[in-house]
Amino acid sequence: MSKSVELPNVVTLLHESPLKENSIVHHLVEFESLFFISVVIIAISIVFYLGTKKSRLVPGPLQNALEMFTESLFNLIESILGKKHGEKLFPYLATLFVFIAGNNFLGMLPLMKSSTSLYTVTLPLALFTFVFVQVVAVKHQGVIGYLYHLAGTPKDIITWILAPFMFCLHLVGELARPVSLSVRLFGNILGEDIMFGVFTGFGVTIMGIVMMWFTGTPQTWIGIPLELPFMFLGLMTSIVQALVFTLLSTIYFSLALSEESH
Amino acid sequence: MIIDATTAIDLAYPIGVGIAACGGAIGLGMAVSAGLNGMSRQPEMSGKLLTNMIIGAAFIEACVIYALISYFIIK
Repeated sequence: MSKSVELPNVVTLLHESPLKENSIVHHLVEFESLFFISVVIIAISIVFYLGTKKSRLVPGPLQNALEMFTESLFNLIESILGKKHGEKLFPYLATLFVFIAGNNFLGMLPLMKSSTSLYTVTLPLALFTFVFVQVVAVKHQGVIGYLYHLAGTPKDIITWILAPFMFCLHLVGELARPVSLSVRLFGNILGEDIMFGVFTGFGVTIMGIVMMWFTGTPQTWIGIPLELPFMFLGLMTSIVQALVFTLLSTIYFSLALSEESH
Repeated sequence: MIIDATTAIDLAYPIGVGIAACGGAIGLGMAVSAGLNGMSRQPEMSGKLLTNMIIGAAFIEACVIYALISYFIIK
């Protein structure tokens, strides 16, 4: 990736300012994603702390909103995983959702960047989910049962002959999951951010031409907010991508857990 | 006229991404139309159908996103 067309954020602006020789700024540029992740985590913590600080039976507006959000997410996950496993895995899945949605939204604020548009952030999320799913599957089915399931649950002679091929097939299928999960999130958010950057550039160019008509010199300090419609689209994409990541993780868990029934 | 590799990539890749988007659009249209059909026939199931439809749509659009990503990586 040679050149970036995304909008500037705090870190890139600091990097181009006279402060760029400072060692703190140097480290900030190296660990850009950690800085923005910290911002998201602090913001989420403050919102949830304020919402649940004084829990009352008759909730205030913020508490009400948080409870409604948590409850609807819980119902969704419970409807896929069932009551017993749903309650156990809900904290992890809900954390994924809130973290990813928060990171996606951060890219739409001025001077901020979605850290989910970096592959170094989405790949660990997907790998962690992948390892967690494997651990849950092995715990639930046992090592032998897990390998038996990977070989396609062979029963008669033909399926036993086909078992090595089925094993390879299932293995590739399992390994493709973290790749597809992470690349989907990364691609969507990166594409969205680049779209904002490109259309802001268009707006500045058009306004510069118009201003040149009036003043005679090129002006680039103001632009038409052409990226605004894409920001409304981005609001939807952010939520949908977070939901898709969470729901696919939920489905992987349910596939790992549902083997006892058949 | 001989063009160099960078120019060839710059010319060919947008067309490739466009073709990928074409396939994705056809698939998405079919998925959403089937989903809406099901939802209008059985409104009480619409919540479940919508969730599954969105998951399927995410799978379909992921293919287009892969084409886009490969463009960013190779550029």
